[in-house]
Amino acid sequence: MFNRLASDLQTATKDNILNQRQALNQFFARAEKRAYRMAQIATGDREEALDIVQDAMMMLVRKYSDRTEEEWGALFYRIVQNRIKDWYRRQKVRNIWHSWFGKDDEDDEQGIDSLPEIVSNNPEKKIFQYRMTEQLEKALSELPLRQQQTFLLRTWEGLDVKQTASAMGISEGSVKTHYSRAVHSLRETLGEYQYEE
Amino acid sequence: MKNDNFDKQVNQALNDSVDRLDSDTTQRLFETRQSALAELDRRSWWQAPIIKPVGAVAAGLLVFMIVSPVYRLADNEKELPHPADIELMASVDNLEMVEELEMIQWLLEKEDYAG
Repeated sequence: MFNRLASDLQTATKDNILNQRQALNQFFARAEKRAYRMAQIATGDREEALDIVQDAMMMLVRKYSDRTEEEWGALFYRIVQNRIKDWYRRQKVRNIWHSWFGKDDEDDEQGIDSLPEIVSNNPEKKIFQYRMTEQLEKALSELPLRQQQTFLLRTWEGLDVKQTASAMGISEGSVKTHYSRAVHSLRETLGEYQYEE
Repeated sequence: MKNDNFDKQVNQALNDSVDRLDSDTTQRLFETRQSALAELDRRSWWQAPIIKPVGAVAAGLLVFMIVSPVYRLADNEKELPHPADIELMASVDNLEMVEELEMIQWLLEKEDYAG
């Protein structure tokens, strides 16, 4: 009897893990690219962004995989936010170190070669969209970190004020302030970029 | 830029940037996801979510089994007379009093039968 109970329990556990694996796979497939872009905009570094996403995925699996699927979104973005903040802190220390030794970073010049091949029925629109993305990315990367991440979580991820506050570990009032400042600043910067259909 | 148009265009631009991710980055993200999922598989069976409630019930039962005899013993201890009471009962005077009480009871019963 005990053996049968143990076997049933083992089967139920296996089914549970399989279901959980499938759900997590779907969740990550939806979130990984967006999280990567958020981290890349924040850090400006591809490898750092990939590391941040990897850490966030691992931590979600290790610590929060038994939570409900509805909770994963806020938890995942909270981990991503914390990793970005950690990166900023490390970067601050590195910048101080660099300022002592006077080492300047080399500017990355992006020429026409970096433009992806644009194949579309409406190349004019596609080119505009590409330029818009480029400008938006530049404008976003120039925003203070909290404004930048609040804006991305609210506008792009579609999190509400409460969820954004939870993901960023700040008050709802702060979310509203950062978001409003970010929108104002981006509108000013991107004012000229609009495509009339 | 108008408000609704602004949100729409920003979303569109960001979504496009995701769609345009190079194949190497996409592949790296896919591999990252697979290794995270492998971590889930590596978790041993006793770490599975279903084990938690079962374990909690088992632990509760174990605690109950350990604690309940202790409580029973404590209840039994409550039934034992206090040492002061034993001392009182053991004194000669009180034994005489008990004997007198028995005598009074006997007399009362006798009266009941008589009358």
